[in-house]
Amino acid sequence: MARRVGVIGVGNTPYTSAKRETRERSEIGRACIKNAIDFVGNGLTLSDIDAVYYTTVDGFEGTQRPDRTMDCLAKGTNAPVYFVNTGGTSGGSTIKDAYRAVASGLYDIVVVYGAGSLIATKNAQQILNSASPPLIESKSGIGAIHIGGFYLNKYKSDYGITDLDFATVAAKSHKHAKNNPFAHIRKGYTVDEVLASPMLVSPIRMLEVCPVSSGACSMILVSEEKAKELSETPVWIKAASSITNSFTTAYREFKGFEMLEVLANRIYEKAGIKNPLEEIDYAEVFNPFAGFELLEYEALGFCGKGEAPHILHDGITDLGGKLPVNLSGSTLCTNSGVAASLTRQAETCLQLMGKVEGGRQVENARLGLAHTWGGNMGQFDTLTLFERD
Amino acid sequence: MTELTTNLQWNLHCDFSQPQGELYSQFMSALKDKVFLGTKIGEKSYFPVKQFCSTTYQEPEKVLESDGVGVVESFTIYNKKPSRVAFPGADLTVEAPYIVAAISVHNSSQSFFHFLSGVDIDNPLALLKSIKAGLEVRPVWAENRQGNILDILYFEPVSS
Repeated sequence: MARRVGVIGVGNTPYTSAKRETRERSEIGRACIKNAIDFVGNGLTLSDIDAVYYTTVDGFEGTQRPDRTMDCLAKGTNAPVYFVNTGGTSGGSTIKDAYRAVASGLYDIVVVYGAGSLIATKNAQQILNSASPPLIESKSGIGAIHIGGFYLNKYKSDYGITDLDFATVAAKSHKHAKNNPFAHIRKGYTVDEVLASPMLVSPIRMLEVCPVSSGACSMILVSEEKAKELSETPVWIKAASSITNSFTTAYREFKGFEMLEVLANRIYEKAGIKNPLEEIDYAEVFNPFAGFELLEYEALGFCGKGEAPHILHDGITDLGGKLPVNLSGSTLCTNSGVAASLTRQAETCLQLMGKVEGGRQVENARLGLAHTWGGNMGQFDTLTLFERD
Repeated sequence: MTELTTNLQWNLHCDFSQPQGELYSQFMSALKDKVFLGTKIGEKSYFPVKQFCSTTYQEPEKVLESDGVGVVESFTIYNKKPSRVAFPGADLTVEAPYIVAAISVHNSSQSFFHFLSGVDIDNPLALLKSIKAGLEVRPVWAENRQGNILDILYFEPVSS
């Protein structure tokens, strides 16, 4: 019988532009993990940690296996370090692995650390685009943003989604990121400003694309016994799962996020969720391109196909709505590489703990859903369901 | 006081040569003869070649030859000249703005990406409509073909 696993601590570091970062990567890690330990308080120290689950993406840092290089990963306390890498979904995958290690009884207290991965590379696109399948796609200069364009143009073509819909969902993230002390882009751009920004890759405009950020995120996962001992506000992991698609990007038909829909149905069935819009109180979804949030509403069953703009414009997914989504500003406003895929889980837990700053707190949020998307452009998705008592 | 040196500078220059496998070697070589190869696996056909079915591991029953004519599934318009730094593996001669399309060649069960030309790049809504109606396209071949995917310069509408 698996044990219950609680999240009792969240740590962030200030997020900034990767080009302006002055901290060395291990200094960032030390500050971030210390913040999570201090968040817990109650006498928890570094030496209590049984294991560290570390995640970043290879390549961006100009070194192989950067986990080796970081003394902040509890190496002074002889705790084992595990390295998980599934590209843009690494945070979600790492939470899943750490959850299972605690649920199985292997460990009682673990740290999950999502490193910022973009501070060394001078051009993140150079590394990111090398992830494309090399035989055809790399050779033709097909990069991440093109794939975003394929999905969103297909979405427009199939359902008559408009540029205004995309700009509205972008402005929602920008509005809330302005009040998030741990967001990178905090300008609060309006719909008009988004629409006035240059078109980069149709139909994606400049203010509908995530920045290249620096910063890190960490979480502390513990057994039920330790959760009750160390925290007054534990959040329980109800279910965590992931799914894998083909490496060849062109294998996708761009008809929405089909694999995410399969994964959502899988996790809802496991958790006994019949009507996600009615039952889930808060969601963080992965939106490196703003329009993805709409596709994700549909894949996650918040509405029918082509109906995402309706629930957006009706305010259902905004603060005060039935199912607020991305009140952190999400990946669109802060993307420090892998840390962004752990921040989705962390922000969801903070909402359920009632510890969100900046007037973004959802009242009485009990059940939360966190999503990550990545690998080679939709190769992987992860979902984690959290609940509080 | 001596100015702080805040950043360590270094550079990695790495060269790669990756085996393509037998089927992709055939595919690339056939491009020199303006032939676009696919494979038939069970009831499905795949252009370009697919080495095996990801679901069943079934190997192809036969190699299919085609002229590369297909239908556009989706597209995007890239407004900025592609940087050689950002696309290190690419051999790009295109000028911005340009269109990249996802193309299903001969009802292929997977699409493939290439450049699209010969359409009105300034009217994305019209392009969306024509794609919804099933925009048929054909490859335009390079004069000097080297046995790689850029032996096709771009695709253009069959009707043009």
